Amino acid sequence: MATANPSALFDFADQLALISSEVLRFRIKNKAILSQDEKSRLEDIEIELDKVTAKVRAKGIASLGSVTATKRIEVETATKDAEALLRRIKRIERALDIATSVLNLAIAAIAGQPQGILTALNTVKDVVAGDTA
Amino acid sequence: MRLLYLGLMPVLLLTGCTTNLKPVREFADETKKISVAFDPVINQAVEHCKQQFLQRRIYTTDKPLKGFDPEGAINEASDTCKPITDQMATAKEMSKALSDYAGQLSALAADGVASSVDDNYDALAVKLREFKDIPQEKIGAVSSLLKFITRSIIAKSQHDAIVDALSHEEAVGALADALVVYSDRVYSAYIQERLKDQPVFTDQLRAESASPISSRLRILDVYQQTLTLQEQHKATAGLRAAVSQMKMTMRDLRQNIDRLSSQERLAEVQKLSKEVRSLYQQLAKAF
Repeated sequence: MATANPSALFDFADQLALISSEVLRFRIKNKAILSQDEKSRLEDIEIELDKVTAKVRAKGIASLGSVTATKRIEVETATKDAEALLRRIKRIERALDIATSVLNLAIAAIAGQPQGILTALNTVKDVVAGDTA
Repeated sequence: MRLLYLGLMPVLLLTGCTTNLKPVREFADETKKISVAFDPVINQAVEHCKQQFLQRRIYTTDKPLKGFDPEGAINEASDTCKPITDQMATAKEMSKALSDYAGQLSALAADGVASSVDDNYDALAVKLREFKDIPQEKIGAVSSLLKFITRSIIAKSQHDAIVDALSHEEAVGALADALVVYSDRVYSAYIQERLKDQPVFTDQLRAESASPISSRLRILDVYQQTLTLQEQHKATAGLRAAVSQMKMTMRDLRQNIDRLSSQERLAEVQKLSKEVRSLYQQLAKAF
């Protein structure tokens, strides 16, 4: 199904709104000569016109969303690509953190410090968990 | 290993000098501010639709007062404007895409992205020094070289990613234009219709003779409301001008990506900052 032109829909909505305003002004201007029933019917017409105006404007927004959907997806993809590079850099940082924490563990093991081994082991676990998070 | 260094030479030469990414960063930050500025416009469009409906029912109706049901009137206003409410998500999707894009571009062009691994390398080198069997003089040299190579590769990737992000100029412009259309054809359309109603409401109040003090107070309210609506209407012109400058600045940056340090780039970004500042001054008066 072809996408309706947003401008045409917004133009149509403006026309409907204009007619509603004209009916309102006619009702007020001729207050004295219109019967209560006529005034009430005119106001009901205004309400209906306002409802249709909102519906057509909403269709205009939907159409605007459809005609720009491809562009929006293109921008979202570009955003994800930028995010991916920043994530890659973070991964390099994490890899270096892991290497440093493993070396800490090795140093503690070589020195035969049980408490140091435990602390270093926990740090390795934390860093690795951060990498996969 | 020598071959690896030779292969990396072009990369190192390309990125040997630090690229000045400040214009890109500032462009991204200003673009983010523009996308955020659309939020009150998107939210307020529905409110203007409801207020227009309600005020017409209050000021111009000829139906008897005894039949006036406030809850029913509010519900009918919500019902009338429901199609606009339902489509708010469409406009929000557009502004979010623009905002996320600008946020990531700013992060990409941030200071210290390329050198962010330096500290991690330094920490690693400190640990390596604790291994006595490794020649100490080589640790510093190898670590510095690896740091330099990594930083250069990251800087090259960062540069390429920024070039790629800016190459979506047409799509970014189309999204921003669509938000301007929303602001002009939905939000502003309701404001203009309400502004045309205001003199009608004032005339109706003047014709009321039963309670002149109450009428005067209401006329004052209508007048103050008119001033607010006028300021809100002006904000749409600010959005249009900011988006127009944003597109020009983006084109300038894309076309001169290798001349980011020049004064012209800075001047172009400053033009955008000026438009955004003026937009936010207008928004402060309007909301």
